[in-house]
Amino acid sequence: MPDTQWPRFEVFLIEDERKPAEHVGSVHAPDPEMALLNARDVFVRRPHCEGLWVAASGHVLFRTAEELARDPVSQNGHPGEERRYLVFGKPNHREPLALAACLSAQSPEEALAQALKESSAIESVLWAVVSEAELTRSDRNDRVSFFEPAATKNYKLHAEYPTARLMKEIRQK
Amino acid sequence: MTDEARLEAFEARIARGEKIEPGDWMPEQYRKQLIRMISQHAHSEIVGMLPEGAWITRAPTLRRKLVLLAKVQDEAGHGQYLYHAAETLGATREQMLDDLLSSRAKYSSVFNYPTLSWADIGVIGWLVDGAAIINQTMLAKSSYGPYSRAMLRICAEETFHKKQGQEMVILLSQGTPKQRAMVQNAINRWWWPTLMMFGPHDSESKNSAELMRWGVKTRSNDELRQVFVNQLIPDLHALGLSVPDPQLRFDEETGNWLIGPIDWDEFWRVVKGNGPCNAERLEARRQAHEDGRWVREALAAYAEKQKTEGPQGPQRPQGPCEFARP
Ligand SMILES: [Fe+2]
Ligand SMILES: [Fe+2]
Repeated sequence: MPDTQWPRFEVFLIEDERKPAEHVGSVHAPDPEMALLNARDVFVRRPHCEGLWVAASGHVLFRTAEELARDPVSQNGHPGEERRYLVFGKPNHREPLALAACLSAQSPEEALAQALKESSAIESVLWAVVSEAELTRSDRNDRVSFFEPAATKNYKLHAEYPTARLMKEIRQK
Repeated sequence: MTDEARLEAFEARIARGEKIEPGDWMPEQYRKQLIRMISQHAHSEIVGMLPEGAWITRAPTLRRKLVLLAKVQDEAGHGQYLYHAAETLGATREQMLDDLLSSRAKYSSVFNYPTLSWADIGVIGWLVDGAAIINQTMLAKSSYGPYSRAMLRICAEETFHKKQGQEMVILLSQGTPKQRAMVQNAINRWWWPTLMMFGPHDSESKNSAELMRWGVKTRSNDELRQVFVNQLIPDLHALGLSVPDPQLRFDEETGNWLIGPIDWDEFWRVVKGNGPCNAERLEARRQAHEDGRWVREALAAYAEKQKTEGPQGPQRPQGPCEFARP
């Protein structure tokens, strides 16, 4: 019997606080706190990270442009209470799936329909929608243990290795 | 829409250079090929930690130890990125891990060779990771969005792997006669297994044509192998090092370094499980999995306790996010 790998959590990363959060992948964990720690180990081995968010995959609605063309989102979905939803869009295959809008709605489907209506100018090949209440986020107290270690390990950067200069010197000899 | 019309639309998207995203329509065979390829790639990253991991405790300086630890850690991360990409196609993590541990899954045959000296660590970084970069740079252009994005992340980190290895080989090649002999010996052992990493000749590779047609791969095995050889030989020669190929020659006409025949019998022997370290590698993986069992059980028990008795540790502040918006 295969060992269980626990539920999946989607991971969003903030490279720099002036930039919107981006979806980077997923991790498996027994609870959101462990998901955050696993996300840190998997996605933050280099500098350039100032924040991490995770949300259980079941709570994130993904839709591709092709799916929407085939099957437009229904406005109502399964309406629940009014919540704040974050809508992520990926303008083309080069740019990341990044936070594009934040709005109130009664379901992720409704939030996506609203975002599509309001930002009909924004092209996106892929959308992701998650309720803000479903996110577990790193905060300022995590900075030292989560992000600072990666920021000082310069030996992980390829620019630390002067291979081109060494080869050139040897060839000149 | 009929399946034929769908297939036509799908192939047209690929021809336009669009990426296929999870949720988009795709032929079953495309999905199957990708799951096979991505999961094998993920397993290679995971098993790839073992040959080098064996030298972490024996690194000659603290700096080299930090570098090697970081590299091996990266490979674990690469495995995770790739398992994620395979999961977007419907593969489950449980099944993939089970396939690996029960030796049903394949992974790169190069990791079934032993690391006999410290120089192997430099040679693996330069040659094996160097070969991986060539392959992965091509795969970063792959038509499947999540695979291509995983490759972009990986390539950025692999450049560090390659350069730390090349730096070690350069220093050893300029060192004492003993160091020079050690690094030459490592190259002699790793050269052919590295060339085999690019896979069988195009004429023998049964998946290649389909993978190229659907833009999963954009260059053939032999083409990539030639890029690698052309890149490595002049540098190795400049360092006074050689490769164990008496038939190696420079072809003026094409500007290529042409290699002698590859021992494909050996390749298939190792792929089929009979290389020098296949059993040892899988045993180490299984042992690591078993050794981690109590940690998984403890975490699961803790999660269960939180579910039944409410939050246990300090709570994160909730409330609206502060975040930058476009
Ligand atoms: Fe790797
Ligand atoms: Fe690597």
